[in-house]
Amino acid sequence: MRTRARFWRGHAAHACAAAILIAFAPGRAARAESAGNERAAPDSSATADSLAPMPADSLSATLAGSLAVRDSVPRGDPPADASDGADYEVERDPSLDAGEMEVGYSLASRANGRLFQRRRIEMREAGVEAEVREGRGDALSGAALGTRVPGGWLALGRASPRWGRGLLVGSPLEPWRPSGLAATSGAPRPRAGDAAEFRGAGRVAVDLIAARQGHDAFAALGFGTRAAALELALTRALDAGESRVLAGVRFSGSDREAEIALDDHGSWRLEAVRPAGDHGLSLGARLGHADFAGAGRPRTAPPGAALGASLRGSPRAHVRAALEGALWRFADARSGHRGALEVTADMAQHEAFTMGFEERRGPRRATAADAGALRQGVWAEWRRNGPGLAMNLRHEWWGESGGLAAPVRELVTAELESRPRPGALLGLTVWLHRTVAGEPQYLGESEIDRNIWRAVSGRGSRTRLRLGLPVAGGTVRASLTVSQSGGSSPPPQWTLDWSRRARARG
Amino acid sequence: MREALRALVGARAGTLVGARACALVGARACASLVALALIAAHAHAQDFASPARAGTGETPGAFLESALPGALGARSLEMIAIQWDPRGEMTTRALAACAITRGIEWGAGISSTGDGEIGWNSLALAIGRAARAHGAGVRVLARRDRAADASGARALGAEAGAGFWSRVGARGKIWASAPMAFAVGEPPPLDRGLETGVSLSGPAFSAWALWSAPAGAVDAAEHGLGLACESGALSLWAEARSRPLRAAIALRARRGDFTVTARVDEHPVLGETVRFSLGVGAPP
Repeated sequence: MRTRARFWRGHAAHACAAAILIAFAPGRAARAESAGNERAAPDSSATADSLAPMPADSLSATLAGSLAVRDSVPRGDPPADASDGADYEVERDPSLDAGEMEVGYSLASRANGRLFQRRRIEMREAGVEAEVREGRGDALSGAALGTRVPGGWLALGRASPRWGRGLLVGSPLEPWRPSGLAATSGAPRPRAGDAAEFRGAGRVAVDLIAARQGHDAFAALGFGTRAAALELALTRALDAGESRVLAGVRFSGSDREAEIALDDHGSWRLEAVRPAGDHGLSLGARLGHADFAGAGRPRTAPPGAALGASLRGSPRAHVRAALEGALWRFADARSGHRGALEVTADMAQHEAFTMGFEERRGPRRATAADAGALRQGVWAEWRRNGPGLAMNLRHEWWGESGGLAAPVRELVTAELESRPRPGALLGLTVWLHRTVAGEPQYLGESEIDRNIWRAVSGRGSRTRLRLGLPVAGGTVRASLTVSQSGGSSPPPQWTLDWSRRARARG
Repeated sequence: MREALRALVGARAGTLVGARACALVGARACASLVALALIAAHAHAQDFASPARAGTGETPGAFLESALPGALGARSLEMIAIQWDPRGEMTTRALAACAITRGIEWGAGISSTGDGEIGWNSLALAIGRAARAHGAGVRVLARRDRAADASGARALGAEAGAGFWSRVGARGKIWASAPMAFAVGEPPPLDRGLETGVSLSGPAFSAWALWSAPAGAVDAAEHGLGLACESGALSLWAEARSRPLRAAIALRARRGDFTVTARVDEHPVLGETVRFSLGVGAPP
C-alpha cells in the first residue's frame, strides 16, 4: 500500500510540475481558437475550490434532475457565441473526492481516418488540485493548477473565471436559456484562456486575477466580503490596442444577487436576480448601456437589457411544472422574447414523463445575420432510471410561424444504458434528426472526460454504441458511432478510453 | 439488384412510386417492386414479418425482427409464410425458434424471400433479457442474395440492432426498437430506423399507438393505431397506419401448444398482403 501511495504521489508531483509548465506555455489559446471553440469558465466565486466546469442547463435537464440517463449530457444548445456548424466541447466534471486522482488515455478515429490520442491526469489532494489534458488538436488541451497558499487559494493555468453576475469578469448569462437570468449557472462553457488568480480567504478578502481571454488581457481586483465586494479591472484589447478601466460592485445574499459595473467612458450595466430554486418565483433583470463590455469581451455581445421570470413548483403530488418568460434587447434595438412551459410527472419505477412547449422570437446574436425568426417547439420525453438500467425516449419538434405544420427541426432520441456491475457499461443511443438549412441542431454526447454537442444538419441519423469494462484496475470505455446524413454515410468513428482512479494516499 | 429495387421503394411513401413503376417495367419485376413497396409501407419487418401485434415480440419471428424480449414461452417455434402481393409472385418463408435459459431469451431463424432471380436468404440471431417491468434485446441478421451478379458473386450484408421496453404503470407499456442500428456490406432492402410506441392492456382489450421512421428521413415518419380484443383462445386485432392510410386485420387462435395466426394488410394502391404463421410452444 505504501509503495502504491509513493507511486501515486510521484505521479501527482509530476502532474503539478506539468501543470505549471503547460499553464505558462505559449500558444495554447491560439490552439483553442483554431479548434473553433470559445472557452469560458466556471463561476469562480461559486466554485472557489473546484476546477470543475459550469454545468449545462436546460429546462428538461433542470426538471429531470437525477432521472437523466447517467452518461448523457444535458440537452439544449451551446452558447450563442459558439461557432456555427462546429462541434462544441466542454470539460466534464471528474467528481474526484479529496485524496483521489485519475489518469486516462484515449485513442480515437477521426473523420479523416487519422488516429487521435489524448492523455489526461486529474487529482485532488488536500490543498492541491491539478488537471492536465494533452492531445494534438484537442480543443481542451492544457493544464490548470489550484493550490492553497497563505491567505487563500491560488489557481494557475487554463481558466475562465467569473465574478458575481459576470458583468465585469466572466460571461453574462443568456436570457433566452432556461431559467434565464435567474439560472444558477450559465451556458455550458469550457475553460478558456490563461489566468493566474488568487482568491482570498476570510471574512474580508482580496481577489486578484490576471488573465488573457480571446483578444483581451486584463487584471482585476476584488475587495470585500462574501456579501459585498468592490471590483476594479484594467483591460487591454490586444487586437485594437486600446485600454479600459472598469469598476463595479457586487452583492450576494442567500436569496438575491446583484452586480453593477461601469467603464471609464461612462457606460454601465446593472444586473440583479432573485433566484427561488425549484419552488417559487425567480426574477432577474439587466439594464444599462448597450455598448458596455466587461474585461473579457465575448465573441458576440450579449443583450444590454433583459428581463426574465421563472415560476417553478409542484401543482400536484408527483407533478412538477416550470413556467418561464424572458425579454431581451440588443444594442441595435432588436429585441426578442421567450416563453416556455414544461410539466413533468414522476411515476413509479424510477420513471418520469415530461411534456413541454416553447415559443421564441428574436435574435440571439447582435449580428444582422441572426434574423431571429419565430420558433415554436414541443417535446415529449419518457425516462426510466432504475438501478443499473436507464432508458430514455424523446420526441422534439420545432416549427416556424405556422406552428408544427411545417417543422424546421425534428429530433427523435432513443437511449438505453445498462450498468450490470460496477465499471461495466452497455449503452446504445439512436438519434433521428432533420433540420432545414440555417437551423442549428446539436446532439449531446458524453465521453469519459468531456461533453460534446455534435453539430448536425439536414436529414440523417446517428447511432452510438458504448461499452465499458473494468480492465487493469481501471475502466475501459469504447464507443462506435455510425452516422448518416443526406444519403451519405461517413466512415464509422470509434473511441477507446482507459482511465484509472486511485487514492493518492494509502 | 437490391439496390435498384431500393431506389424505387426506399422511402415509405415509395409505394406510389412502386405503383407508377409498374407501367415501366415488366410484370414480374413489377410484382417484386410492389411487394417490396408493401414491405416498405408496413415498415415494421421484412425477413421475419410475423403476424404479431406491434411492439410485443410475442412470437419468435417478432422477437427476431424487433429485439423486444419478454413475451415468449420457454420454447417456441414459428413457421411464417407471407404473400406480399396479390399475385403471389413475391413471398417469404421463414422459420424462427426461441428458447429461454436462465432468464436469457435466445432466438434464431432462417428466412427466404423472393425467388432465385430476385430474392435473398437470411439468418438471424437475437438475445434478450426481460424482467417483470422492463426488457431489452439485441439482434443480428445476415442477408445474402440468391442470385449472383455479373461477377458471379452473391451480395452479402448484415445488420444489427436493439430494442427495449418498459412497463408504465400497471397496464401501460412503452417500447423502442432500432432493428438496423448498424449495417455492413450490401445495404438492407429497407431503411428501418426507429420505431417507438406505447400500449395499454386490459383483461380483454388492448390498444397501441406507434411512430416509425426510416433512419434517413425522420420527417417521413408514419403513425399507427391498433386495437385488439381477446376472448379465450381467440384474439382479434386491427391496425391502421398513415402514409398512406391503410389498415390490417388479424386473427389468432390457440389450442394447446399450437397457435395459428393470419393477418391481412390492405393497401389503397397495391392491394393486399397475407401473412400466416403456425406457432408451437406454450405461452409464457
